[in-house]
Amino acid sequence: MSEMIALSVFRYDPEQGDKPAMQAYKVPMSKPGMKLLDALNYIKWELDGSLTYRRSCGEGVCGSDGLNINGVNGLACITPIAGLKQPIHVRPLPSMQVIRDLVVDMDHFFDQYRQIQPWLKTETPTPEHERLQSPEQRAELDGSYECILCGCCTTSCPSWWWNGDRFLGPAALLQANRWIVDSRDEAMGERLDQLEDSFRLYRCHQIMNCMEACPKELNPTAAIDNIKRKILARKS
Amino acid sequence: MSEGPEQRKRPLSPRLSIYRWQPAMIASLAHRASGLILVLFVPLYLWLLHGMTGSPDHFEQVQAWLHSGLGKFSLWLAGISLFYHFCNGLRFLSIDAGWCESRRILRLSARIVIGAALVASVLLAVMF
Amino acid sequence: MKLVKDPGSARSGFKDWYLQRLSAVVLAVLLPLPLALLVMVYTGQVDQFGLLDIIDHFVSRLLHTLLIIALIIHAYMGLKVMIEDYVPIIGWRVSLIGAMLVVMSGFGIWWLAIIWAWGG
Repeated sequence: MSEMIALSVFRYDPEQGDKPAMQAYKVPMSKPGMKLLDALNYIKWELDGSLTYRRSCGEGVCGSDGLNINGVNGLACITPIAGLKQPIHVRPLPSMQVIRDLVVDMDHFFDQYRQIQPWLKTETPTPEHERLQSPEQRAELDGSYECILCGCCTTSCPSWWWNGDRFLGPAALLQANRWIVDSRDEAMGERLDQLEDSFRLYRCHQIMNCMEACPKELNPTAAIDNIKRKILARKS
Repeated sequence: MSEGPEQRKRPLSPRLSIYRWQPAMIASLAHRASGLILVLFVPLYLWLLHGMTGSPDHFEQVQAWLHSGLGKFSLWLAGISLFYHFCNGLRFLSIDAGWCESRRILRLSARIVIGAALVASVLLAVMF
Repeated sequence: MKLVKDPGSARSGFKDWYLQRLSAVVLAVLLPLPLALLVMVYTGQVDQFGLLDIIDHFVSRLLHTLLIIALIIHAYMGLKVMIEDYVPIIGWRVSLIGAMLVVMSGFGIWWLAIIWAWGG
């Protein structure tokens, strides 16, 4: 007889039109090192096929199963059941429009990512070979390139909850910093122009929920502060 | 976007009511709260100063008020707010300057300022 | 189609952030002084004449003036950020910030007048 895991999962069915509610499930502990996603899969495959959630790679690379787990955002596929207090409360990412159960509308999140123009901008003519970087210049991108855009950080940020229509949020700003620090990018001034806005950038009040939530253990707070320092440097 | 006229409004997923409070989040919110208390204390401080530099009678009145229950409580509240706002302010400034931005230090420093403020509030309460 | 129509960058916001931090540094240096004075008066280490001697001094008046200016800038920027955060309706936001600016600057000018009138 295996140990049972208690879960309480956020449910919302747009066709029923009812208010969202929490539903309790019990799932057997099937293997050592079992992850939260395994429990959700068990519910969907064995107990209740109507439970809806996003998942793809199952190993923390695709970033589709960002959820609010016991009050903190994280990826279900890399969150071990063992460390979680039961019943495990599983909710969709906070402050998002719920489409069904644990699936939320990510359109605005990706709009904001697009807004920082996440591509290499250059003025110099394209060289014959690649645009080379020294190992040191490449190392500048550590802590930025790992971001998988799962949305855990942005949806954990109270500033984004209240002003998400204008504040870009930690994920987009971490990515903005990724291009600012990239030695090959030649549009830092233009990027800073676009970011220098009391709402887009300066809503960050160092709450640091982003850092606590990031499943890749990145530090969006530090990235945002780096952008602020770049603006400070060109103003003073 | 998918917001057709026939489609009902999607519910917003819960946020503040369910998010687990973490030290850094508490530190940031407490910075606001203590700042707000201090703003309210400024008129009081100037009123005290005004009274103390007035006639000797005025001075005695202000002294008596300061030693009353409400006066002591105000001083205590302003004291811990100032202490906290000061400590966390230095923390914020150093983070802005980029001196202690590692994840570990950000976490640790939040715990330190909150802990220091709690200790100070007890000490201050004992002293008065 | 985007969910939110983007009005572009306001190219501002740096000044608020910068003034907030600049005034914070001034306050961090100056604020302990009147606090220590208040505590000494409270405990009776300094009587009224002692207090007046200290406060009437030209340097005290100068420091007090700096303190009040920094305090008002810091408080104004702090409350402004809070209003921007929590008041979503632009009309209310602008009205509140405007009212705050008038009240705070009036208060500041009144206090500067009192400080420089001390002792005659």
